[in-house]
Amino acid sequence: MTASIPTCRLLARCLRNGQPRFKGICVRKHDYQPLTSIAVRTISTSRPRNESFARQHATGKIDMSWVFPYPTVGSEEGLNELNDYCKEVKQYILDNVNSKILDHTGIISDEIMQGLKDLGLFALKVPKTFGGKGLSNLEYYRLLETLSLDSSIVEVIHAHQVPGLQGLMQFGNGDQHDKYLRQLASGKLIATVALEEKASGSDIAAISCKAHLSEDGKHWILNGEKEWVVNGGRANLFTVFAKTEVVDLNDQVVEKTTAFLVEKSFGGISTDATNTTGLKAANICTVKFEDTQVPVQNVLGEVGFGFEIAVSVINSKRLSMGPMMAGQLHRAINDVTEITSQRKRFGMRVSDCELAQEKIFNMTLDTYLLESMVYMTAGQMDKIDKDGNPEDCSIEAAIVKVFSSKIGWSSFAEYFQLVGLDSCDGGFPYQRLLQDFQVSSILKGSDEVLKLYIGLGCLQHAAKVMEDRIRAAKAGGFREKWTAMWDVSRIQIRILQNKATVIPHPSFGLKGESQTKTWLDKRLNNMGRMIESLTDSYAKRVFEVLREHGKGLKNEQVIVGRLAEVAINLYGLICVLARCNKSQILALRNADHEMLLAFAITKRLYKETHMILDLIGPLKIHGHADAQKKAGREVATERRYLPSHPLEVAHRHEEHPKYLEQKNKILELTN
Amino acid sequence: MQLPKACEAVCCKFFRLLQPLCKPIVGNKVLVQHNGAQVFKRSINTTQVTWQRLQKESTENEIDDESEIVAKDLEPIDSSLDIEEDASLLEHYINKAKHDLGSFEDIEYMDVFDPNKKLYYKMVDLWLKEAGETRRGHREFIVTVMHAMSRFNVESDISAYTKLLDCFPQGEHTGLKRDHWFLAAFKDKIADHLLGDKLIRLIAENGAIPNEELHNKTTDLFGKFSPTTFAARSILFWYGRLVSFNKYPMSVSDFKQLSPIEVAFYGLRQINPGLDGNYQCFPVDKTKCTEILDAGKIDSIISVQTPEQQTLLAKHDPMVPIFIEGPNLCYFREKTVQYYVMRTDPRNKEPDTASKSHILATKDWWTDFYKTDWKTDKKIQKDSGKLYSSEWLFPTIHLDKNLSSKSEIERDICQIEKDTEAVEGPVYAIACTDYNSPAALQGWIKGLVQTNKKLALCSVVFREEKSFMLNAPTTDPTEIDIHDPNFLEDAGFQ
Repeated sequence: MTASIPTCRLLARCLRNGQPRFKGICVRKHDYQPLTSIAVRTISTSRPRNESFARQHATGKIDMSWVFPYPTVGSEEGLNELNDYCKEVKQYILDNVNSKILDHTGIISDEIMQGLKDLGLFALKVPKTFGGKGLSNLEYYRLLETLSLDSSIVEVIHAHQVPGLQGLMQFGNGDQHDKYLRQLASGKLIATVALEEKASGSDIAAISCKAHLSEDGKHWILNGEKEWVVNGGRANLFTVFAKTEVVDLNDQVVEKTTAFLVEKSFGGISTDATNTTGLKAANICTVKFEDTQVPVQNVLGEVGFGFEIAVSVINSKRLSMGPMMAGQLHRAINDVTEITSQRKRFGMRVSDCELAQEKIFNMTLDTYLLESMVYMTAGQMDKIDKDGNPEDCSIEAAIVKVFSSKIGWSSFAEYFQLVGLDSCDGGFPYQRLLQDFQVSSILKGSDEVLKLYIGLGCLQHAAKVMEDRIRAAKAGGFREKWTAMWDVSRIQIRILQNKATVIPHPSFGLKGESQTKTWLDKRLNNMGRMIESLTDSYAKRVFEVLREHGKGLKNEQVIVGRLAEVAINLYGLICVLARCNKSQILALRNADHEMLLAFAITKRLYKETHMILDLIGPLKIHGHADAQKKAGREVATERRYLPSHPLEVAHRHEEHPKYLEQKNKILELTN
Repeated sequence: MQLPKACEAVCCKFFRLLQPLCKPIVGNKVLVQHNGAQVFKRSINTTQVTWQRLQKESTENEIDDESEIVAKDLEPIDSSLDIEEDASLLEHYINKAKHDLGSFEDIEYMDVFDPNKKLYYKMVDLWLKEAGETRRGHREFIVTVMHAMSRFNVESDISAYTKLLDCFPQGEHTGLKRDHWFLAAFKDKIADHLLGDKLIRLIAENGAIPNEELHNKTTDLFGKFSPTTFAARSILFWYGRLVSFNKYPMSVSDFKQLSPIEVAFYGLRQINPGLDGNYQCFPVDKTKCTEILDAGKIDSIISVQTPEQQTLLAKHDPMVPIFIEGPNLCYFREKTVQYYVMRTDPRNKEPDTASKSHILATKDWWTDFYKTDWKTDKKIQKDSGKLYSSEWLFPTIHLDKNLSSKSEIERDICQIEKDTEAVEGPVYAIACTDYNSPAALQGWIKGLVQTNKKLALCSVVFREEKSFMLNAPTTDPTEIDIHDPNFLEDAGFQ
């Protein structure tokens, strides 16, 4: 058996490129095959679990399979269908739902509920095999944006679809699917999650709700109290997390979290509505479980492994904050432009004032940024890799949540400022917008916790990638250092040089490679270059920080938080670029207007991000980190405002010679 | 290596200036004295230096270097004061001032409400009027007034001290002023300069707040190159800095008015810090306790416990005994506070599986080889080496310890903490009393049981560990005559 010369060459190249080398000269027929598999590997999105788009930025890498193309609904027919459905839903809400009454009474009436069920809004995420609509994430979040006309209704429907169903869909077994999914799709059962408790908050490992096995071993007996359960009064199926005792190695008894599916008919459940400032019709409740008997079949996943389920549940529910805010800000901009154009002050229309236009511009920028982030993330969540696992987008979802709550405060402030005193008389839409936003932003996790989550996630990945470089920099004297660095870089160079075997990777390609390879519209080249340089300096700072603090970074919360801010800005920038690129290439409506927005966003965030990077840099003159740490600790330990009152004097100021001296000097100067 | 003599002298001088300044701060912080560090606890009596003594010194050392004088000045001076003569001098002026108090000139001291203080200013004014421009006998007067400050309750008023500076002869031709460094080499009018120095040390000891007026007056009187001006400048420099470290400043006059229970409270606040501390006062059952205390002692039990300590006690294993140790001493300025500590032995660590010598028993072998539990056949988590994953929300950074530049320092600190960990167990509560018997301390436990139910299950052991300070000789060590053959027995040693 002989192989032809070109195939031999290819094989040799393939072997050089990190394919396993065989010890004997034993080349069998199927050993030629890997050539195709290499190609597949470079294109496919399969990657280890802890590696995702935003995490890769910390190592100075931008994965172009995310950026191009910007995600859209698969076919044009599908898009038309979706738009029609959105119109239908919007029309229904405008006709039948009076938000003012909903907010006043705090109850969604049964008629409206039935109407929502008839529209199929409770079956959106249930797979088609179980009688649901089986929407993808992209389509689902598009619908949520439409539904954001009334934020209570969004919360109710979202709590049913995503956190309520997430545990069951991902971790439930076939029997549980058969039992519940059809009923959930028809709206007979309404699902929700009972996770948070008064004592633990967002620390989900510290819940105090307990469950133990009954004597006959057929039931779990559940006790405890859960707070902030959305739609708790109306829901029939709770996903409840509780601590159970399990036996670990060496016969140690430990308490671990377990997830249960609890129907309301199991008994021992009492709900009590809490009086919240916003989301009044969302029926937020405290739910009490007193000796509730849960059959053994209703345990989700395995006993003692509920923590993973809890994490995936809270990860999934975050993203809804984005489309909700996007929808509301859309309407706010339309509203405010109309109001300002009708109002005349100082002989001109308010909308003609440049300062008013600046405010409107700020709102538009934020909305554009948020939109592009939301649909980018939602689109990527639909991707499924070779093994059938969905993409890990927890960090990206957290980024969207943090960003949306940040711009929520600023944009609403601009909005109310432009509306003027009309927004202060307790008028209906304004006050309600703010209150709803406040509640829903806190419901989806505290921003600071999420920032730590984002920052540490990126650093974890970066540490894995950069370990060799850090070790090289640390090793011995100058000579060892140099050789070690050289070894690392040589490997990279070797990989780069063999371009023939690697399919050319799409990239901005503005720095190293020729400009013809870029997928970017020509007018966006400048922005692409700025983003590339920003990513580089971000990666450099991450490397510095890792080299300085190493494992101890988990205690340096200020640094981690700042790095998270950088990650958020960078992610936003790239999303905007991808979206703008798409609209330029396809020549969508108002593409030039989008271009302006993208330009402004890039300039602004570029400056902002560099300032943040300076704050955590090695030059301490830029920052105030030490002063912040010390002063913050002092106030926290003393538990009061420390400085003396400005009117306070320790001495008789009239007698103080320094004071008199200054006073006389000033008097002399003035007279 | 020995320091050259001049250098030593400078060091001594610097230390001498600082020591009185540090004292009020150290006193407020309550030194817990485990060693015999009685050096720091000098009573005010050491400042009892008569002007005669100072004069004698100046005549003796006229020929020597300045360095030697300073060194000698540091030695403890145990001369007794000729109190009777001074007292009569003071009484004379006090009586006069009392007689004169209601007069029209008092308008100057309208804002002084305390009659004692008013009397003080009046008295000094009278003396100034009588002494005239020459201020004859000013040193005697100043020394006597310095000892009587507490009598007028003006210890923490800076204006009282600046008033005393007025008693020095004022003007151009006193010969006191050292405006040039060259003049500092001579011992001219050294007694006045040293007296001024003592006065400023007294200010620091009594915790009065120095101001710029003090500095201006000393420079006007003594010139830039006088020890008095040095001292004034140094307390102005240090006072603000030292006070900023002191969380609970207290003036001398306030300190005097404290009841024993309040002293105990302030002491406990320093020993067991924390704003959440729960202070309780428990009575002592006098039917069981036969001890009799002197007046002015703490006859109840003042206990402090933070919520953290309470939770620690709630987790305590009842099989392990709890110890009450003491009495220990702590010093709060001149007063001593006696306290007891409730604690246990450190918990034994779980046997470390990694360092254990490896025996290939069936169970261990199974887990090593298959990486699963031998009973349930579940996979062991990689990170924790356990079946169930640790429930931690945040991602962890996996890097070697040696890689970061800051890790080495951290590791050293960790090492020290681990060493001490084995020695000291958790402290559950601390209490102050002057009783010494276990019978009295039972009241403490009875009181604590109301908030700590776990304590009822535990066995409590009284472990009397008297601080050796309590066994120490009661006589002043400076009064011991070493040449006396029986001095050891007199001092209480056996």
